[in-house]
Formats: sequence, C-alpha cells, structure tokens
Amino acid sequence: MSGLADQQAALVAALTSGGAVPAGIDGARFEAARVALLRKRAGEVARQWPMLAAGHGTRWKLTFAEWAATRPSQGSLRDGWDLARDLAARDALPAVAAVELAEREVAWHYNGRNAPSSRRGPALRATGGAVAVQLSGRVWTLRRPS
Amino acid sequence: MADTPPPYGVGIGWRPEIAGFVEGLPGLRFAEVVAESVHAHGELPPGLQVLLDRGVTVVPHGVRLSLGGAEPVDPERVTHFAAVAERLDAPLVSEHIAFVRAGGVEAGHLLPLPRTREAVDAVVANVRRVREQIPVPIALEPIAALFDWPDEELTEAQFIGEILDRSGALLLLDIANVYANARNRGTDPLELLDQLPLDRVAYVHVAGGAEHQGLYHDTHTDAVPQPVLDLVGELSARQRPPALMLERDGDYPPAAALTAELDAIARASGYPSVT
Amino acid sequence: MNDTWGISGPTFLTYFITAGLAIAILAAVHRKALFRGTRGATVDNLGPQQVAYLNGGDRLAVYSALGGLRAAGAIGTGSGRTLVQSGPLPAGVTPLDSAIYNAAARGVRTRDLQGDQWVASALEQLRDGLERNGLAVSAGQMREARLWIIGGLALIVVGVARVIAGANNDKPVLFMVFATIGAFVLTLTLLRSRRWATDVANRSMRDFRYKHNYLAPSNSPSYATYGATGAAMGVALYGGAALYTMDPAFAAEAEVQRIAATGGATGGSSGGDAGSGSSCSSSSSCGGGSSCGGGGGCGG
Repeated sequence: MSGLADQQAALVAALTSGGAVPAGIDGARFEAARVALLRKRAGEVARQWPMLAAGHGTRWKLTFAEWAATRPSQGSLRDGWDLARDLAARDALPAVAAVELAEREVAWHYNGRNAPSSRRGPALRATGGAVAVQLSGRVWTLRRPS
Repeated sequence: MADTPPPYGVGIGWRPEIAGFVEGLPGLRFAEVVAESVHAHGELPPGLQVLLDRGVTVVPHGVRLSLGGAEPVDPERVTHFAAVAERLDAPLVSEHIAFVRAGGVEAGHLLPLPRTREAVDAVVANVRRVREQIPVPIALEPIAALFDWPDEELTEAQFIGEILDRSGALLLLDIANVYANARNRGTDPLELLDQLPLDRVAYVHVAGGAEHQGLYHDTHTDAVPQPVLDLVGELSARQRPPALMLERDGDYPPAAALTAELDAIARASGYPSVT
Repeated sequence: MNDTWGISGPTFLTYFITAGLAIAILAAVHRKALFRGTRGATVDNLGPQQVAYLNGGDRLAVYSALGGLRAAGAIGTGSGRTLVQSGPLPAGVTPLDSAIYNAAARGVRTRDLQGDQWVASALEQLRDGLERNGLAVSAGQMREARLWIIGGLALIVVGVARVIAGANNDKPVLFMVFATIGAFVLTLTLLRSRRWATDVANRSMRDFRYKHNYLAPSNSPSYATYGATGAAMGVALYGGAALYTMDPAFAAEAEVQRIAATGGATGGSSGGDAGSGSSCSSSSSCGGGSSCGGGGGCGG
C-alpha cells in the first residue's frame, strides 16, 4: 500500500507545511482548499482563545493564517498557545490576549511539545505585560497591560 | 437495519452551541452528534441526555477515524467510537470516505481519496476493523472535495458503490456534497443520484455553503441554498430516505432561520415539520 | 496565686467558647429564619435581570442588561471605556434596559453605571419586586442578620483584654489567644456573607440553572440563535464570564469583571477559563464540537 500512503503523506505535507502541490492536482483548487483549511483552523483557535482572536479584531484570520501556513495543527488549544507565545516574544501580543495567556500559563503546565496538563503547585507568570498568579487552582490577574 | 425501519423524518446535527434550540424542537426524532465530542465515560451533556430520555435517536458521527487512510485505523479511536455508540444506544454509526492524517501529520480536514482500487481496499479494510468492535451498522459519507486526484480508475458512483458492496456499509448521503461536487466539476448532480444505490441510504445530510472565487465551498456555516433543497426533492421523489438532517457547524443564525431551514427540508422531502 | 479578674483560666475559657458557640448558633438560626423566603415562590417566571440580581446583586443585573442590549445591537463601546448607543432600543425592554441605554447616550462608563441615578432607581424597582415575592433578601434583613457582628466584636474585645490582663498577670494565655482568633474568624464570616437570594429562591434556582445549562459558557452558546433574552439569561446564570464568551472584545472594552453567579457551576475565579480546554487537551479522541466549524470549506 505504499503508493497510497506516499500519495496521502505528500498531500498532507503540501496542505499543512507548505510542501509542493502533488503532481496532477489543480494548483488553484488546491490553494483554495489550503486557504479554507487555514480559515477553519483560525475559527477553531478563536473558540479556545477568544481574547487572542478578539485582540486582533478583523485581522485575526489573516494573522493566524500567516503563522499557521507552515505549521500543521497540534489541536486548537496548543496552536493558540504557541501563537500567543510567539507573539509575546515579539512584543506583538494584544493586551487583552496577554491576560488570557498569563492566566493559562499559571493554571497549566505546557512545554510546547506535549498536551498541557494542570499545575499542581502554585505559579506566578508575567507575559506580554500581564502578570497572573495561581494558588490551589484559583487564578488572579495581578497586572493588566493597558 | 432490519426490513423497513420506521422513518425518522427531519432531524438536526446536535451541537452544544445550539443545544437549547434542538431541545425545543417538539417533533424531533432524529439527531446526530460528533462522536469525538462525546466522552466515552462520565456524564453526557445535559442537552443530549434530554433528547435520549425523550426517545430521540442520536447517531454518533465520526470525523477523525480516517477510514480512508493507507494505515490501519487507530484502535484507540475505534474503541472510543464504539463506547460512544453504546452510550447513545445508537442503531447505527457513521463516518466519512476520506482521510484526515498521513505520515503522522494531522490535516485537520476531511481529504478526498484518489478513486483507485487501492483506495477502495484501504477503506474496506478499515471498515472491517471498525465493525469488529461495533455491532451496529455503519453508514459511510462521501465528502465534498475542492480538487481531484489525477489518474483515477473509477467514477464517483463506481467508487462509492464498490466500497459499499465490499464493506457491507450503508450510505450516508450528503446532498449538499453531491451538489458541491457536481457544481465544482461541472457535472450533473441528478446523474450521480441516479447511479447511487439509493436503497442503501441510511440518512441524509443537508447543509449550506457559499461561493468564493468561482468555487462552491461546503461550509456548513451558511444558509442551505435553494438548489440543494431542490435536490432533496429530487432524491425524495426517487426514494425517500428514512431521515434527513440539517448540518450546521458555526455562525449559527437566529432560531427563526434554523426553524425555517428545518421546515424547508420537511417540505422538500414531504415529511412532517418538526418545529 | 490570683486569678485574673477573679476567674480561673479554664472557667473563663469555657464561658468564652460557650458564648462564641452561642453567637454562632443563634446567628445561624436567625439567618435561617430571616433568609427563608416565601414558601412556594419560584424563579421560573422571572426575567433575566431579576435572575441576575438574585445570583449576583446589582452588578450582575447590570451585566445581564448589558448582555441583552449588546446582543440586540443597541450598545457598543466608545473611547475611554465608555458605552455608546450603536442601534435603536429594541421593543419590550425593561426599565433597567432603558436606563442603561440612556446612560450610554451620555457616554457613561460601565463601572459607573450603578451610580447613575436612573440606573439606580431602575435597580431599586427590580429589587423591591423580588423582595415582595420573598425571593430576595432585603437590605433590612441583611442588616438584622449582621447585628450578630456586634456580639462577635464584643467577644474579640473581651478576648483581647483578657489576653493582655493575663499576660500582665504572668498567666499562660495561649489557649485564650486561639479562642480570640476563633472569635475573629466568626466575626469575619458574619461580616462577609452577603447574599441576595432567599433559600427558597436558591433551591428554585438550582433546577432553573440545570434547565438552562445550554447557556453555560462551556457550551459556547450561540447567542445569535438564542437572541437577546438568551444572552441576558446566560449572563444572569453564569456570570460576567458569559459576556466574554458572547463578545470578548466588548466585554474587555467595557471592563466587565468575570464575577461568578453564586451557586453556579462556573467555578468563576477572577480569571482563566482555561478549563474549557481541559477535558480535550490530553485525549487523542477529542476533536471539538463540530464536524467542521469555522468559515471556509468543510467537505463533510
């Protein structure tokens, strides 16, 4: 079955990582599918990360699509998390999204490779100008960037 | 499914976002839930439990088994699917004729299979693996695709027919997909309807879509267009399916608009209104 | 060997603890009677703002109205965290809705709404009706319940005095220190417990909330489908967090606090609802609620 397996792997790579469109497939139609998929992923991430999406307003789908074009989905929770961290590192995280990220950083342990798991101990994190603290499961925001 | 099961009429895809609306449909007897969104153990969402208590048939609809993948289906996913089917006491389950991952990468999307005998073999083998764990019938749904593979050996009707024949599966016919594919390929949707084994249709999906840059996208987030409703009429005139359901997945409109779409499906199929 | 104030340590401690327990029990019994509410009263026929008041007082009632007005497209946010009118006032609104809508025309900030005289008087009207029906605890009843704080304060004063006197008298005071701390905690508990709903209302609210579970933020309810009343009821039952689900940008601009509705199952801490991803984050077999979702192609 290696023929089918190779065909499928090449198609998924082209769709999610910017690989070459497999020979014989209509380029324009493939591109339409690729863009539609990115838009759909943006919508799913917006559900998990409402403030991240809201902070970008009408530019959200574009911002996400640019970032996600060469990154296969790790699930909407992790995709949004990775993007928020990238933006924070570039000082480009909107203020409302910084609060959302900080609150999750203190509530969850996420190493960027595995699924996030809830923290057992207390935590204090500052990111993108927001500061949050978590104590036995309760989260407080100490500072909101303006 | 034995002899002639009683028809369910018009149904709807249950989604948490519109659970309150679905619960309020007095005549509802058929609904579908995304299998991956239901926990195998633990409490069911209250809105879904209410439907079950009322005797509404709820069918689990898998979206991530990847039955068309070249590799065997993930046994863990099949176990979950089976557990959900049992929890819902479902008379059947459904999945897609598609693949969603390959080479260890998730596509996050239902992708079309090349219409080849090798692909038929892959689907049939995976359906067999699923049926080993799930005692109830499985219905397979052909998808809408924006692009086709080169060098295909079978027509769409042959491809679907062969898979159903060899796997013993039922057909979940998405009438909006029939419309989308025909429109994007420039073919006649009625021709496909006439070639499909309509006596094997377990139920039917009806969904909305929109055109972007000359291509019709099966979005599930737009209104059901009139040509799709017309196809419901054509299908019902040939062989009325036991159930037809509205499939909406986002940008949910006001309740009145959903009600109107359900009624339009009822009118087109000749079933009583459920609203 | 002189007993401080002529009473032995163990005897005094016994009296002190007995007095503390008596205050706690009497206060509890008194509260039970005060907050019972009218038998047979139910929340089933209440509007969203009334439900909101019972769950979170004036502030949640205001938030609930904001949710309804926002869902109807009547209000938005302007510069400097102010509210603005963004559309006509829908038909069939409550006095609180109109008061907030009018305040929006004057560019009042969300956090100053309760201070607006028209809003305040609409809230008073709302409150009065609920108190008459035996669903809301009145300010008078709350004051009466808090009278027991005086007993607690008296205990603290006596306890502190005894500790000082005992220490000066070279007596062991450790147990007395603990007992005084106990009195302090008791007083704080009496002071802090603010409530709006009577016991009858709370019981009725439990069923009501279960029936309206579809409005819980964890379901990402479609407020477009449920309409303005559904949006207002979502906030009433599930707190400020529901406004963030409905319209995150508006809620953030309007500086809506994520206050929880009391007795709710929202687990409303001041912040994160990261829990929304919890049940699915680790499981391989959890793909979100829809077979498709979002704009763009779906294909299923």
